[in-house]
Amino acid sequence: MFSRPTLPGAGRLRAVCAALVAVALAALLAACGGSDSDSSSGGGSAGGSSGDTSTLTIGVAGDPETLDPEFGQAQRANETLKNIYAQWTRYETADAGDGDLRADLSKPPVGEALESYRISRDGRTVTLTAREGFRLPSSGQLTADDMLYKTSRLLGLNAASVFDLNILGVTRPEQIRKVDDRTIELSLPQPSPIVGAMLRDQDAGLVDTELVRRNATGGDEWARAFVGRTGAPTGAYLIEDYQPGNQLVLRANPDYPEAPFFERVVLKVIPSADERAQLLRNGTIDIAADLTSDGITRLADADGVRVVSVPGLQQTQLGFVSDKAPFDDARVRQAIAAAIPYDSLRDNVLGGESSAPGVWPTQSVWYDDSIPSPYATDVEKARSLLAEAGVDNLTFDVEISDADADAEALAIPVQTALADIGVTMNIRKLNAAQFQENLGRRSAQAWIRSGMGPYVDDPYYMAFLTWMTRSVVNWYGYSNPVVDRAGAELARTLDEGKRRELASTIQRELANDVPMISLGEPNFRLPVREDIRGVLWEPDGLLTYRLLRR
Amino acid sequence: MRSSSFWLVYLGRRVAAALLALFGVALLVFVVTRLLGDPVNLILGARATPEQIAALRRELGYDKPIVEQFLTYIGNLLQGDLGVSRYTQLPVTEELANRLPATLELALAGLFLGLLWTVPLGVIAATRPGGWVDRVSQAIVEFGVAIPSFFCGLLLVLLFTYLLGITPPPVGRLDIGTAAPARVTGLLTVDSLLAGDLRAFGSSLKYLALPAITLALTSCPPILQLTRNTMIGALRSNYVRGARSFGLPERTVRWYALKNSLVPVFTMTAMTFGFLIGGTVLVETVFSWPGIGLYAVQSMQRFDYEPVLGVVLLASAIYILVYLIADLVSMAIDPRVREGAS
Repeated sequence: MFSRPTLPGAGRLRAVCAALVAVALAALLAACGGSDSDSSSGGGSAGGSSGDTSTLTIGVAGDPETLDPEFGQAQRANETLKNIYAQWTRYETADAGDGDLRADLSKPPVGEALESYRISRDGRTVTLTAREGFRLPSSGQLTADDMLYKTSRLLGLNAASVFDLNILGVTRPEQIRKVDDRTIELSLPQPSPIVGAMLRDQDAGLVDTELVRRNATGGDEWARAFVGRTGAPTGAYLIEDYQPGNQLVLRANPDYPEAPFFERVVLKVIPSADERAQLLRNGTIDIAADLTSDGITRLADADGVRVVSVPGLQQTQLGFVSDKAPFDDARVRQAIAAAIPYDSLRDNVLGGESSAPGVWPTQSVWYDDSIPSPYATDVEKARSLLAEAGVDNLTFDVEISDADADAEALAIPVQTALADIGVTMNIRKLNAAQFQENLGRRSAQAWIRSGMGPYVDDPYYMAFLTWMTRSVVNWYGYSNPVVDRAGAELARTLDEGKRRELASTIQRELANDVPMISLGEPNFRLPVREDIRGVLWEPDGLLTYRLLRR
Repeated sequence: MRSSSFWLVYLGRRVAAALLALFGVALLVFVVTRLLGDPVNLILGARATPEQIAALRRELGYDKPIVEQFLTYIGNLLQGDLGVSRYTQLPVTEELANRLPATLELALAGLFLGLLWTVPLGVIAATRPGGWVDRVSQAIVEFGVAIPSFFCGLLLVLLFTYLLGITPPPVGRLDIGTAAPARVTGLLTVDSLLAGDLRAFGSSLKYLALPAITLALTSCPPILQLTRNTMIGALRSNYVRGARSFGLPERTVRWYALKNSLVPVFTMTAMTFGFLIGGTVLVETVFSWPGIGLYAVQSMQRFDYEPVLGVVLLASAIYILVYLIADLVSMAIDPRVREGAS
């Protein structure tokens, strides 16, 4: 009856449509090929995407959450803060081989923005003198007023970073006074051996006083909103351009005493870890940050890529909440420690890039290797310790964060090993917030967490932060009067020999009590393009851009 | 008078329904995000004291019952306050304003490319149902609907970037390190033209290409399908038969059919655009595109609730608004729709 409807002009219409589509695609693809940038290609290119050898491009997972040194907590923010705010002090460096560097922890830190820091004979007065010629971008020469302003801001905001002063015993503004135009004094309630190291913390970075003051308001006297968003840098790099979610471009500070090799550093947000790895392979970026151990291992053999690997202070720990059953019995904890196949974990999970685990980071200058380690695999000993403790068919839950791929990778072989001695370990994977909340409440039975290690290699710092009964990171519920006494004594002891004895005392107690098991001490590892040198390892594991070179 | 009261009543009902939907979205997302855990420990970090944790929890209102927290949130919302990002300390409204243009630019480009291929192909396919063009278009529709957008994006990156080397790597909106042109609209292609910066224009266009093509391939096939089906229906309708029997030129007949087919296509296009505003999350993640979708993902990973709520509410509001506008326009131009509504 009716023929299929056809359009007499259909052919012409087709042609017009095809032309339109072709024009649109051609415009797009022409744009792709039309730029003089080499970012399009898959070929390697020194200088990252820009093709500019004076620019360093780092692929990062996300933005720094703040540009305010008083509020930095996460790794990305801390690294940014470390590089854009001048530190009062810095570690001296030692050769780490292959053109890279490591912090020389055997020497006390030296001044960076400071010309000197002097500690009085009684150890209770610290005199800080600004370096002559050290300039802040808006304020000019660094003065005592700038240093006072910084410390007042730390105390006034009372954010977590005030820890840097509190650990020295400085809790009130009256403990800080101006001596002359370039000098201030800190009055400590007792001598502190870690003044130099604490002044190096990125949270303690000096802000550009005049700029901060100009942006303070009645309701925001410390310009928290402004500094968090815009920053008030004083360090080796200043902020040239910040597009949240896209990139942060840093420019070398012309007033900084030592000119960095790279004029610009681009922190490019590339959310996908696989994409960052791929872009490093093809030379689009110079450094791929924020990768997991597994991701870094996969890059080890990639053409044009070099994986910097330096032994560090970080541990991946299996922590026990030792103030409640079943881990309130040290024999149970010792049994678990004896059942774990440490060599296998190192070789098969950590890619061989790990130091043997210790109760104290074995790369610490305070580590006492004469103390027998509880971390030796001995399955028979494990069984007999459990029998001695009267524990049969032990079952417990271990919590891990879903954001901690390294912890998960270690948890599974540990679970298998414990099954061999009749212990059932259930792995509970929680979101990062819930995991952290449970750690603070000590509501878990046990947990596994990577990245456990001190930012400052000092026994008092470690005791104060972790091992004393009231320590803020005592997620173990650990309480040992011997450790408490040693920690308290370390706080006021300056004599190195005595300190070493006290550090050993703590380690001996930890080796007996086993409040945690170090499953490994993964090296600090960073995949970079093969022409990048000058990577500096410091205890905080944060990269220092000013020393990098091509 | 009767006509204007009809419009007022209709509009009032639709706006009320839209507000109710937004309230439902806010409630749902609020509850889900609160179930994911307390972010205070993450915000403050490991070195925070219990006193500092308690103080921040008080400051953020997390120590209050969840109903009270929700009522406070809704109260602030009514005053246009979407809260403050706990991580960046910036107002969420400001962050959304910074990032929305990137999503809009991507969604508009994807939709433009999508319309460019779907409508003509749908019309051509309808002229010969069952013909080779129709069969190919059906295959494309099935492919586009079936393949996840992130997977399609990854395939395109693999092919055009890493194998052929003709498109840039998926690292955002501009060449790495290139400064953005002065912000006028926030759409880089437009702003770079306004600034007379052809280099930035070329750069923004090439970075826009693959994500836009991804969206055009994966989000627009329903437009093709609808265009084809409505056009077939129109070409078989009585008025077309009538027009043909009166001897009207075929081009005129075809134009009549096309005009009648475009009303549902227009509605579908509006819905697709609304969907794209909230639906670019995966594509933005694959291409490191700094829009609101990527912002939501990153905020979620950091347990930063307010931005997530803000993004979902904004995307929902845009979707509802676009759909409402499309509905009103359809009623205005098509008496059959008006008749149905009345």
